[in-house]
Amino acid sequence: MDSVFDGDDKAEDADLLGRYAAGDQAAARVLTFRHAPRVLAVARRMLGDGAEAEDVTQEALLRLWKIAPDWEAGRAAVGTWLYRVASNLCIDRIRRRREVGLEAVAEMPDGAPTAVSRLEAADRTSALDGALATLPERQRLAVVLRHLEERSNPEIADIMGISVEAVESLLSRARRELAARLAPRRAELGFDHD
Amino acid sequence: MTRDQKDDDAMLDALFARTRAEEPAPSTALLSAILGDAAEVSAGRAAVSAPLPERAAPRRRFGIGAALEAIGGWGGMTVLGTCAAVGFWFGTVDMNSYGLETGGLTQISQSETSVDQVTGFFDMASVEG
Repeated sequence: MDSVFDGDDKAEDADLLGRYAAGDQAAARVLTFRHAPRVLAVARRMLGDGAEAEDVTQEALLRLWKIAPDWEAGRAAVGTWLYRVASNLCIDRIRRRREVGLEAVAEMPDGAPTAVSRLEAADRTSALDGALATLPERQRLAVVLRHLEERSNPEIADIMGISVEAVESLLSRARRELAARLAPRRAELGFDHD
Repeated sequence: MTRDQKDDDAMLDALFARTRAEEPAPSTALLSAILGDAAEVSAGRAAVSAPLPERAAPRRRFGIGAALEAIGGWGGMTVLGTCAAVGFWFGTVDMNSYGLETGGLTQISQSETSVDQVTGFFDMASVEG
């Protein structure tokens, strides 16, 4: 998959944002079609709620429109910046849910029944979504950015504002946790042993 | 890495790949809302940065010049003066000496005709009452 963080795209995005700041709505259209799908995908996986994910996506792009005149082209890629804004918005929402008791418990003891076991057996994507929902939000974000958005570890470090080593640690723990939750359902998910 | 760990990794990677492939596109409503925000933010910036309209010549608020301007200049002053003079003349002259009817109204004398007109009105009121 072509990375939207390639050098040419980064420069082009900065140019588009500059043209938008000058009033060019066609530039906003290009930026929207290029970045909104990716922001929405991250938000969906983080929040597990389509309507909330759309709210986050719209809010993230709105912040981009507002900052356009002050955008410093060499400072960050538009895509990275949007991922960062969306990630923070998602984490804020998850934490607010937890405060009012709506969010799934982040750390579940071994052997405890999980949300995964209540999902449709044949729905692999739902099984993964359910398992993702049980991860702490930073592990969840790292997995979504690495394995669903296919960002590199340095890009993820930039988005999350942490070191590359911290990203690798989050990913390692997250994969172990996901495997532990999904391995018992390997057969029903169609991943039989040879 | 044990065989189970390899199998687990393969399972996870397959699940990730399927999820990536099935990612739905943003709805038209969402894209429209985003573009609507873009247009609104642009319009707001344009309104703030629009040049101010050229200021009209400052109006004189005080003095004889302002008063003249208020009544339409020297032409207006002429008309006003004429009206004032006529009004003064009306106020001082004896109208009866000229046999003039003021305001188009005839002087009503105390005649039976006028009294009948008055009582007739009240008769109508009584009938209606």
